[in-house]
Amino acid sequence: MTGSYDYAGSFAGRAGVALADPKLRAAVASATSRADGNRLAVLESLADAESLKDLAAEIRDAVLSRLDVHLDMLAETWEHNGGRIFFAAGARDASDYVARLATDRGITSAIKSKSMVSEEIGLNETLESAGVDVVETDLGEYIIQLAGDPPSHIIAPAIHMSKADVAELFSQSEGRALPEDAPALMAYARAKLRERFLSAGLGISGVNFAVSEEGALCIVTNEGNARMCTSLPPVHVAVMGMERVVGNFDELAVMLALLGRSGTGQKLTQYTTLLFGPRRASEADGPEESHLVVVDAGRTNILGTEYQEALRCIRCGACLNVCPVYRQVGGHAYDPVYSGPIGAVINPLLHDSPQAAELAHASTLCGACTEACPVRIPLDDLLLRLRRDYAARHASVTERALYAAWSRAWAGPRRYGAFSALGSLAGRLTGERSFKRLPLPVLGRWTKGRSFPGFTRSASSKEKR
Amino acid sequence: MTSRAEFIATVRGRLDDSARKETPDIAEWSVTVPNGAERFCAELLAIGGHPRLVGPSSSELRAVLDSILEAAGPGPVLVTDEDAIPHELVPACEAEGREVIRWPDGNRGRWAAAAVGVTSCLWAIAETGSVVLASSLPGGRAVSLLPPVFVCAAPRARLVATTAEAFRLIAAERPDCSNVVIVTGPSKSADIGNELVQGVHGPGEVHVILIDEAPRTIRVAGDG
Repeated sequence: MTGSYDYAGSFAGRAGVALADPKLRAAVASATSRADGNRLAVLESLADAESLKDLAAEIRDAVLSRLDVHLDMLAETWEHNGGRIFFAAGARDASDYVARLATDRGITSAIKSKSMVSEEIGLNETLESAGVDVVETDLGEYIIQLAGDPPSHIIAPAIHMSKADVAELFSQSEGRALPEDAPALMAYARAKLRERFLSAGLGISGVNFAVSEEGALCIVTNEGNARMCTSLPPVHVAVMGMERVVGNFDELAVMLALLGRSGTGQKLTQYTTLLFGPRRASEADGPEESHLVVVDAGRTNILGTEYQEALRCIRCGACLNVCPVYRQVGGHAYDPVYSGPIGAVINPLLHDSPQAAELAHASTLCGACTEACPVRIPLDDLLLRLRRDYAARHASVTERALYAAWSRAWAGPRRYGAFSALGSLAGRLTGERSFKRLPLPVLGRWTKGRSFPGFTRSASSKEKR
Repeated sequence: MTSRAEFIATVRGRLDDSARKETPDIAEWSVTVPNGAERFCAELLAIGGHPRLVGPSSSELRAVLDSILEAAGPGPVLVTDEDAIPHELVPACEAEGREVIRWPDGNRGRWAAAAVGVTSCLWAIAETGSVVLASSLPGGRAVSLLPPVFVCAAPRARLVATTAEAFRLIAAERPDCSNVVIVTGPSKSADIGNELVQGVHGPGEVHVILIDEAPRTIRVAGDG
């Protein structure tokens, strides 16, 4: 269940590991289909969900088109509320800032609520090497931190593990047998983490949305761990991707109406926390210092390009739950941080590597992701564009020659007729209606995972007329 | 290391001035919610919370509080000094021999040991069964967060129809505090084997008492 994924290797290799694990496949299949069922049921509680998605996309586009103005305003309003803000161009700048916050104050214990961008910037590793002990407090993140696994779903990071896996893991960590019982396992984690909440010097959180006109951060959780992380330690730091901004509370209300419904099928997540900087003089509890780290780490490479729509993403995870590929292979087949269709789009855009680039092929282009997306990101279309870019950079001479020949074969009626006559002759000779393997070196690879449809005489002759 | 100005200049450099879009006009998009109190109760019940609709009678309120306290584990009751906290709470605790901590007396260790936290709210939201809380005194963060049982006393007049409306109120009234939280039922998680459990970090048991206080107010005014 852990540590068997080779992120330096290929998607096919990692997918193969996942496909050979029936427990993982059962866990992922049941969790994703349940989440998607809930999503569809609760979207109906909106008067007009489709129009609301249009509005949400429009809001996100307007913010992105004026992102410089929003970030400038956010810095002003957040500082006005007593918060501190740091703009980090690189991943390393961001994680170093957080580590320095701790070490400058002599803090050695940190608690953290779930944040995908913190995974992206390798925050935990940086903190550990600076001598800061950091504990994940989202139950799923706590589980995978103990297991040494990366998250396998944007909002359900331990989706790949069964109850038995968790019982075994907690038992090993505790040195005594814990029952295979969800409430008992939860109570164990609650007690462990409660101690840490009450003693930690630094609380770390992500940000679902920053509200630029109000100087406010919005963080949603179901467990209440973000409330703990932002209320109990004397210092709070929030880390956000620079695109996660809305203008005002009206816009935020639209986003939240779709975020909970699309992600988990909830009208509203259990805890919607709005933060306006550090504790006021008129308050009895809350952090004395409140920091915000705004992270670029490759996002400006997406801004202003044909891929900008990907930055609309509100990280609900709906595209993962509907994806026929994700539902089979789970999140670890993709990339250590973002998985599923949105991961296949943004991983290669955020960091340039052959491993990330090939993820665009981990899709059937069925379009279920695009249909589910609450902010109308044309995911299948973006994947296709990424494949085009991939081919332009990686296609071999043989591949190019074959595609050129293919395209010439289809360019005119006579050539097309000759080509399909050849195909149907091959079909008659072999007696196959489709070809499970093509007897050529390159085309043979193409048919490794699919069949090449055969030609029928009637179809080809009808076309000729 | 980049400064704020450099960072924002880099962002600006990527954006095309001719492609800038105006913020869309956000018209009334939200659902209409008739019968707010009934809807509130149905929503809160559906997500594992305990709604209570209480009339103006003091004995009715006392009975509700008694039943909540009887079922709660041992430990003090942590309560804020907000106007809407029922006067029946302290006698109910005394009857049980339960200690009352008046927020923000004591320290974090004592707050964390409380069995029940009691607050009021800015607003309650019918569409979602939520309550909206502010962190400024007489309220605070720990009361609704640390104890395993959370009780919120909400005068029915504070019930709003939708989350969209609640956000309009937050924007308009902008409570002077560092934290506003919308609490929608109990803390929950499905991270262990996709099985839903309550009370992971926040309270696993949430009671919202919607109080129809109008008749009582009239009586007090008449007495005065």
